[in-house]
Amino acid sequence: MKKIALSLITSVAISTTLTADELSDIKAQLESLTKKMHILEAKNEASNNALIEEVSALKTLNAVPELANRSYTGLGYAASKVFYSKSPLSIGGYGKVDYIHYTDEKSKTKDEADNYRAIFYIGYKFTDNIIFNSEIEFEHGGSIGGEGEAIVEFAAIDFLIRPEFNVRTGHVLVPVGHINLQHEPTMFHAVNRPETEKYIIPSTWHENGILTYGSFGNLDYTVGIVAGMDAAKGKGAKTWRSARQGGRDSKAEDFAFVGRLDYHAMDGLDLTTSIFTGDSGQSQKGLNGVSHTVWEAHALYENGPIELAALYAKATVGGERNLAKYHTDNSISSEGSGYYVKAAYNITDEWAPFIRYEKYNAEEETLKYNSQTQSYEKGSAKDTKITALGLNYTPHPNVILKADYLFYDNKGVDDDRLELSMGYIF
Amino acid sequence: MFRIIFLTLFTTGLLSSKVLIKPDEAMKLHFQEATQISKKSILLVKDEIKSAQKIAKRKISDRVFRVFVAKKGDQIVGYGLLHTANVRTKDETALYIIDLKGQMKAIEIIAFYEPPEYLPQKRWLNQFIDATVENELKLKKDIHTISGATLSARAVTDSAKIALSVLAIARKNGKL
Repeated sequence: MKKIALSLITSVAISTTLTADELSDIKAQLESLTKKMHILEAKNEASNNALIEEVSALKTLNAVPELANRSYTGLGYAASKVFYSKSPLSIGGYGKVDYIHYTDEKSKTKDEADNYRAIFYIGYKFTDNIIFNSEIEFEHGGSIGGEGEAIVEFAAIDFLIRPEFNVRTGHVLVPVGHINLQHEPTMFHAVNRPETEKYIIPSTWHENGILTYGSFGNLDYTVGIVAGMDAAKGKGAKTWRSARQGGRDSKAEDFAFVGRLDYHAMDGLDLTTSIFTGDSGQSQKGLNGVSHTVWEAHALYENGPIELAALYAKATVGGERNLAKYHTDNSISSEGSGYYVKAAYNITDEWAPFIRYEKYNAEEETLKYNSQTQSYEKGSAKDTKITALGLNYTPHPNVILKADYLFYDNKGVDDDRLELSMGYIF
Repeated sequence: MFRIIFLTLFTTGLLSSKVLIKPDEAMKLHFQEATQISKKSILLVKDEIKSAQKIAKRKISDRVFRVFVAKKGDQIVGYGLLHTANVRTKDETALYIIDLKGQMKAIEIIAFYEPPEYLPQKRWLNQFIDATVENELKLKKDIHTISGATLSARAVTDSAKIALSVLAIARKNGKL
């Protein structure tokens, strides 16, 4: 259109023989063309705006279907919701593959390359307030001929009622410690979790029960009950770890109380304490009055590129004489404790060197029943001390490559190791 | 105990599907002087997206944005830009509420489809108050991450910077 107008003007400009009538006619044509051009431009703008609005509406509808309030094939808004809602099914997961080289010549442990974890989360949102979530874990390559594991680590339904009070019930993660709730490989620095959170806090720790949780300002809480430990299973250094039932036909004669408080003291500083305590005899002969308790306190601090963490954990057994008398083939531990401190520095988003020191002893106080003399012998084991020096590389927020060297003092025996790992979440 | 819990659940009537807050309600909450909240959609052309990406230092995959405008009479008092980002496998949508000085006034999570424990809390979102396009908004440097929910923190932090940049370009070019 503009080109036509321009050529007309040019024709006028170069013409030297036009009459007054002809000039007037050309002027009228120009005015008419300009008017049509404006109408077309206005229509064009209106079409563009309508298109932008439609695209924007579709984007919003796709992102937040609940905002739509549209009907589908004549149904009411509520009945139409399912047609517009996003898939309620959610699939996620994480995994890690490790290589461990034992550097001390005297080490009895062979080097290993392990498909340590392949985990899948499956969740289903019945409504925004009733949500099922589960974690299915294959450890050490899955289960073949008794090796490896295939476990349901949690399978619970959350009823979201209000910020101050919600309910989670089913097979739940026991809310004790730091790693037990956050054990994905991108969540912690070293190739392996701190051993304090393995032998004192027996992560990964999951049990059947019911939890309530919520927030009051800067304070988050969790309280509930889960099936208690089974004292008949735990002895020696694994007095707590092996006493976990894991939700597989869990004996439920005794229940345990679980509680947790998370206090967000300031930006970047979180303080937490948590406890599990309860009888663990499960009405089994000879285990009357036996109880297991694990408690901990930890602090996490982040300031700019600096990350610091510290955790102290203590595990005790009540009715230890009965427990020792039950396990006459082995000593039992009546007290264990451990701590670790960690510092990491995020040089960039990708690179983070770190150092972690820990000291723990799962057999700080042991008890052995001598059935011949019918007497109890007290004892204790040496501490395990581990210093981990390492580097994490995170090429993508969901992908991590780790390398660390552990100066490993295993109850007085050097057992250093070099560890490499790849981990992912999705 | 179970009976009490289920009675509580079903008598409270709170187990219905809903968004956390509607965008226009969020705008009213933060611009209480406003007499009118309207919505507008804007399209940024290729060069504008390039400029916004340069300021944001993040890739911007959208070209069309939904903006809520708060007015007192005929005077605009502030904006809210709706932005959706993927957290892990699911999306979150938030309204980034920005005043006339280009400062972040608040962030309101509109919808969150990941498990609720990953939902950013108000106290964490408050870190963004007064942030402008001049702020780098780098996670772990300028913004503390959320313990156990790094992916949520990353999604919201990136979206906040994108919202500030897009709004700055749109206003500069007279699109708002």
